Amino acid sequence: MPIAPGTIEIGISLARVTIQAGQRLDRIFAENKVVTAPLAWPIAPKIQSPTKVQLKRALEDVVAGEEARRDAGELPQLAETQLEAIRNAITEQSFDRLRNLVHDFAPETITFDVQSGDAASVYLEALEESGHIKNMDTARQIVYFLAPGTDNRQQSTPWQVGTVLLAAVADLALSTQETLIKDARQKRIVAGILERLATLELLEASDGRRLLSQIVGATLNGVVDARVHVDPENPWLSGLLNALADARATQPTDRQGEYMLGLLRGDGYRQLVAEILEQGSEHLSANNQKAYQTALADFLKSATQIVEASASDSAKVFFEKHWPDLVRAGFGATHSHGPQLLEGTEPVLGIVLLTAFKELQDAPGREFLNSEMLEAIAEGSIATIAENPELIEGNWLRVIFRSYASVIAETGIREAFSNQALTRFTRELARRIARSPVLLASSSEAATELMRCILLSVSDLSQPTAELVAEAALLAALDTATAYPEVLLVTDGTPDTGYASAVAALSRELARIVKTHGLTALTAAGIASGSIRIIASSPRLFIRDNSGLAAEILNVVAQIAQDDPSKLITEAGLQTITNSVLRAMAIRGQSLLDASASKNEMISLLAEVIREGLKLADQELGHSVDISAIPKVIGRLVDSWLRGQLLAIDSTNASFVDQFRAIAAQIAPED
Amino acid sequence: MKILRNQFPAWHWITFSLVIVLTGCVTKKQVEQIVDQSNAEIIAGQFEGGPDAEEKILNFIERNPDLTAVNQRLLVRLGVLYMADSKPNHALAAFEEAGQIGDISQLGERDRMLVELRGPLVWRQTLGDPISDANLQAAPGYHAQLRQYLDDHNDLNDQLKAMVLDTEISVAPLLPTGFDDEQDTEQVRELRDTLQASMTDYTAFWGEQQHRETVQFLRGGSTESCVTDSSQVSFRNLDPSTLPDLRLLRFAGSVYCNVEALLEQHQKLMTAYRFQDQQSNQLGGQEQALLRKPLNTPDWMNCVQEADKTDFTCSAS
Repeated sequence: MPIAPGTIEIGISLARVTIQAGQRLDRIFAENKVVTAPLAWPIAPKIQSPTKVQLKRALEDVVAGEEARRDAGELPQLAETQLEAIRNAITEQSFDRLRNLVHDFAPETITFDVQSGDAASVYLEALEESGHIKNMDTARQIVYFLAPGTDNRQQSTPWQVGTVLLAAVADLALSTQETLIKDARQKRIVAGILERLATLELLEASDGRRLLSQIVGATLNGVVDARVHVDPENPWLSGLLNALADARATQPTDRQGEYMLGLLRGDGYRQLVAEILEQGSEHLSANNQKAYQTALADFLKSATQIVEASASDSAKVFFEKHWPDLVRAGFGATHSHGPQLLEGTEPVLGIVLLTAFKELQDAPGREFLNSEMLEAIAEGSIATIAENPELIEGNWLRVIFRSYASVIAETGIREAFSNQALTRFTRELARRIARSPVLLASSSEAATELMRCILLSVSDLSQPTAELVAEAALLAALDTATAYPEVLLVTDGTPDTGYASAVAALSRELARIVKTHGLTALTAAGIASGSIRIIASSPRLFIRDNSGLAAEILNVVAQIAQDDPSKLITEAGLQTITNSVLRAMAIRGQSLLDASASKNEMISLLAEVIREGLKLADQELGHSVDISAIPKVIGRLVDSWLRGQLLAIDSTNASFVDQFRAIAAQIAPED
Repeated sequence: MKILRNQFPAWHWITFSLVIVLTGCVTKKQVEQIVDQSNAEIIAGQFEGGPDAEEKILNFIERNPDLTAVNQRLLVRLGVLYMADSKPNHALAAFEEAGQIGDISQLGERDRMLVELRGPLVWRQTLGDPISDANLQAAPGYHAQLRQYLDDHNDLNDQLKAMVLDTEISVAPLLPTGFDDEQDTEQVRELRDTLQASMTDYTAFWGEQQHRETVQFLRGGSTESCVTDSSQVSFRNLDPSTLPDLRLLRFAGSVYCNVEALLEQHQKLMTAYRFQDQQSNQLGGQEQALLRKPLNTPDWMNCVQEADKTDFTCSAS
C-alpha cells in the first residue's frame, strides 16, 4: 500500500527538525549503526559424553569383575576402600563421581570427546577453493555474523520516513543536509520518490528502509549535482521514477528490493538524474514525458528478462552497471533529435537501447567501455537511427557496437590513451558516423577500423604527442572519408584497409615530427587535415599502390626544413609546402611512376628539388621573394618538376634560377 | 552496571575521565569502532588480558548515559564478548543490564532474543569439558526454555531460528546423559517424547526445501557429517547452481552431525538402561522394546546404526 502524501510530509518535517538539532543527528546515526550492525557469534564446542547409566554399567562391571576375582581366590586388584567408593558412587548416581571413577578404573570402556573444530571455516575454505566464493571477507561476515533482524523500535510511519531521509542524507555533504530538506523544491522531489517507491510494508522491514534510503540518497545526489536546475515538477525525472516503479512491479515481491538495489549500483544513476534535471528543465518539452517513461520502462523490463534468461552473471553485471549510461544516451539523443524517437507503439528509443544492451552485454571488450564511452556510442547510434530509421532493420547496430568494443579492447590503445581521450575519440567517431550517411551501413565497420589503426600507429609514442596527433588525424580522416566515401570501399563493396593504413602511416610520421621538431598541435592538425584530404583525392597513388607514400613525402619535407641552415620554413610554411607537394604529387606523381621511375628514385629527386629550391630561396630573399612566399614557391617548383619543366635541379644553374624567379613573380607576397 | 563496575579496574575510570575531557562528541564514529572491534575480537576468540572492545563499551556507556537505545545494544554486544571470553557471569550481567536500562520490547529481533534467552545461550556457549552434575541438572530447564521460546516466536527470522534450534539440538543429548536408573519407564517415555520433539522440529526446519538444499549441498561435499578439517570436504564436483545459503552455513553444516549425536546419545542410554518397573506401570515388553528403538528421523535423511554399536551414520537420501 503506498504511503499517504500527508504522512510523507510529516516524516520530512521530522527529518528537518532532527537535522537542525545538530548533535542529535550524530546520535541518531550512532543508534542506527548499532541497531543495524551485524553481531559476530562465537563458535561453541561440540561435546560428546557417555551417559550416566553407561558410566554406572562400566563401574558395575568393575565391581563384578573384582568380586569374581575375590570369589575365585585371586589377588584383589582394588583396595577395599576403592571398591566401597565405587559401590557408593553407583548408588548415589553422581555424574561427577561416576565419571572420575570410570576415568580411574575403567578408562578403556568409555571415551570422552570434545570437538572444538570450526566446521564453518572448513566449508568456507572448500567453497573458496572450488571457486564458488569470490570475496572471502564478505562471505565470512555473512557466515559468522548474526543479522539484526526486525527492528522493533516503536516507530510511527512518519518517523520511519524521517529515518529513511536521515540515512539518505548521511552521505551528502554537511552543508547540503539542511538545505535538502528545507528547500521546498527538493522536498517535493523527496516526496515524489517516496510516493512512488515506498510502501508501508517496505518501511516496516529494516531492510526495506535501507533500500529506500539508498534510492532516496542516490536520487538526491543527482539532484545536488544539478541543483541550479532543480524543478520539482520536472516531468522527465517523474518519468524516470515512474519507469523504475513500473519495472520493479514486474518482479516477484520477494525480489523487488534486490532488483532495485541492483539498478542503483554504480555512479551512472546519479549522473542520469543530474542530466535529466539539467536537460529536461531547459530543452525538452513535457509533452513527450509519458512516451519517454514507457520506452524506458519497456527497456528495463525487456533487459531484465534477458538478464534472467542468461546463463552467466556477465549480463547482469553489465546491465546493473550500464543501464543508466544507455538511458542517459537515449535522453541526450532525444534532446538532440527530437520526439520522433519516442513516437509510435514501439518507440525507436526503446528498440535501440535494448539492441545496444543485447549486443554489448557479451561483446568482447565490453568490460573496457566506461560509462562515458558507452553513452557516446549509444547516443551516436540512436542519433544515426533517428536520421536513418531504415537502419534499425539490418545488423548495423550489431556491427557498430561490437566494432567499438573491439577497438577499446586493444591493450596497446588502452595503455597509450587516457579514458578521457578514448571517450572523446569515441564520441567524435559516433557523431561523425551519425551525421554522415555515407559512413553508414557497410562503411561503419571500416570507420572503426580507421580509428583502431590511427590509435595503434601512435600508441607507442609518449603523451601528449600521441593524443594530439591521433585526435587531429582521426577527425581529419573521418571528415575526409565523409567527403570521399569510396576510400573506405573497394570495388566489390567490402571494407578496405588501405586508407586506414595510409592515414595511420601519416599519423605516425606526424607524431614523430611533433615530438622531434616541436611542431604545435594546431599545425599538426592542419597538416593532417590537408594531407589526408589529398590522400583521399588520389587513392591509386596514395592508398592502393603506395599506402606509405604520403608519410614518406612528409618525412622528406620536414627533414629538409629542419636541416635548412637558414631556417626559412616556419611551422605554417611546413604545412603549406607539405600540402602543395602532396597536391602536386596527387595530380602528376602517378605519371612519373608510370614512366618507370621507382618510388625511391622519385622521393630522392623530390628531396633534391626542395633542397636546391631552398638554397636558391636563401639567395633570392629580398630580390625575388620574401619569406612568406617561399613555401608556395617551393610547392610550385615541385609542380614544375613533375610537369617536366625543370631542365636542371641545381641552384647554380641559370635555367633553374629563371624558373624559380618566374614562379616567384606569380606569387603575390602575403600581407 | 553495578556488577560491571566491580569488574572494571579503577585505573580504567581515570583513563576514561581523561578521554571525556580530551575528546569531543563523535558518537557515531565511536559506535562504529566499537562494533567493528567487538566483532573482530569475537571472531578471533583471543582475549589475553581481556577484550579491548569491553573497555570502549564501558567508557561509552559511562559518557553517554542518556543514550539508552544505543547503550542497551552495546550491552548486548558486551554480553556476547564476555561469552566468547568464557566469562558467563559477566555475560549474564551485561545481558540483564541491557534488559533493565530500557524497554526490552524496543530491542531488535536478535538483541531481544539474546537478552531473553541469555540463560541457556550463555550456559551453552560456556559449557565446557568435563560435563558436570550441575550442567546435567540445568540442561532440561534450559532445553525447555529454548523450546518454549521457539513456540512463542513463530515469526523469528530464519537465521535466528536456525541458531536457537542449533542450540536446542546441541543441548538435547545432555538429557539422556543425565538420566539415571532411578527414573522409571514413564519417565523414559517422557524423555523420548521430548527428544523426538526436538528432533522433529529441528529436521522440519532444515527439511524445508530451500534449507534442505543447503544442508545436502554441504553434506554432499563432505566425507564426514561432523567436519573438523579440510581433508573431509571438497566441492570441486558440485553443481554451482546449488550454492549454500551463507547466512545459515554455520548451522546447516552441523545438521547431520547434530542428528547423529542425538540419535547416538539416546541409543547409548537405551542400550544400557534397565527397565525396573515393568509390573508397576503395567507396561508390556513390546512397549519397552519400542522405547529402545532409535529416534525417528525424516525421509530425506538416511540414518543407519552401526552394527553392535550405538553410533549412527546419516547421509542424504
